[in-house]
Amino acid sequence: MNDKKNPFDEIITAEEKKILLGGASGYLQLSSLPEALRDKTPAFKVYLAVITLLVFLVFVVTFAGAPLSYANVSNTSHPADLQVHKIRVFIGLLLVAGFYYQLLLRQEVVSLLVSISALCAYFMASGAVRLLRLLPEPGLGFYMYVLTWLVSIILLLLFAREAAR
Amino acid sequence: MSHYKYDSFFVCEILIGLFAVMVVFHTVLLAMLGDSQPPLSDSSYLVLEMASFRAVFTSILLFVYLCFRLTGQKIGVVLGAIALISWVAFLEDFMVLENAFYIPELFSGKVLQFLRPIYLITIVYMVIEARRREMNL
Repeated sequence: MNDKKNPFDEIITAEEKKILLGGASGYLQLSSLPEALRDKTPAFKVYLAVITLLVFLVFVVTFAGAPLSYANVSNTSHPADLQVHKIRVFIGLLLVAGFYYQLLLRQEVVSLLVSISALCAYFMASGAVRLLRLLPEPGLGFYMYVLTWLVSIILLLLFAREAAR
Repeated sequence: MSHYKYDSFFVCEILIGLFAVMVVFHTVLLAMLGDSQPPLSDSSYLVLEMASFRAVFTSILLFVYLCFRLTGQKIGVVLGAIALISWVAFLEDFMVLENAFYIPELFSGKVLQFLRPIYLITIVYMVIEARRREMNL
């Protein structure tokens, strides 16, 4: 019969062992959406619903077919512009998925929201510069483009402020 | 500011600053000398158009970062935003715009091409390090 004890049994208690073995999986465990939203303010839920709806609409509009094709949505027919637009939509969807993942992990989302709003500012500015070159003069389309992005950025920043509460 | 002494973070800041200065310098040089070859494709035409915009945007980001750093505010969020924009811009360049910055005649373009991957990795390290330090405060 072997009387030798495992040296780790003397150092680590049963409780510590339980935390060490089970702690990591619990930390990375996704909660349900109602659980994740339980302690959030009503304004947070409204912002979340509005922004999710907006992203869904952009996704539908972008992939809807001929009348709402890439060329119409991005106001250009240059292949490079269209490819950039496709990549931006794809990155947007990835970021929304990342945001929901972070939310369901019940981790801090403020910095992610601020980063996304900064990225939107970059998209708005680069798109506006490009449109100024493409269009003979900035008309209603240009102002609508800038206004849409501005509203999105303000919504995201308000959402970030609400998330910080 | 006292939390960030002269360590690896400081070295990273020098690298980032060098990259930002090179972006601005290259763009100014490009505007002054011009490109000897006309744009051959849509993507190269778009690259030329985007170059000036990128330089302005880089300067603004650098200015915001410096303001936060000098006033001793938390820089994790600012760095996160800069890193996200940098990686998205890189993806756009890599997948669509071919050789952004690269003008064979200009040495500054070659230096930028060399510095860019270093910059992208450095900025991610800085985000992680800044967040770690801010959580420990």
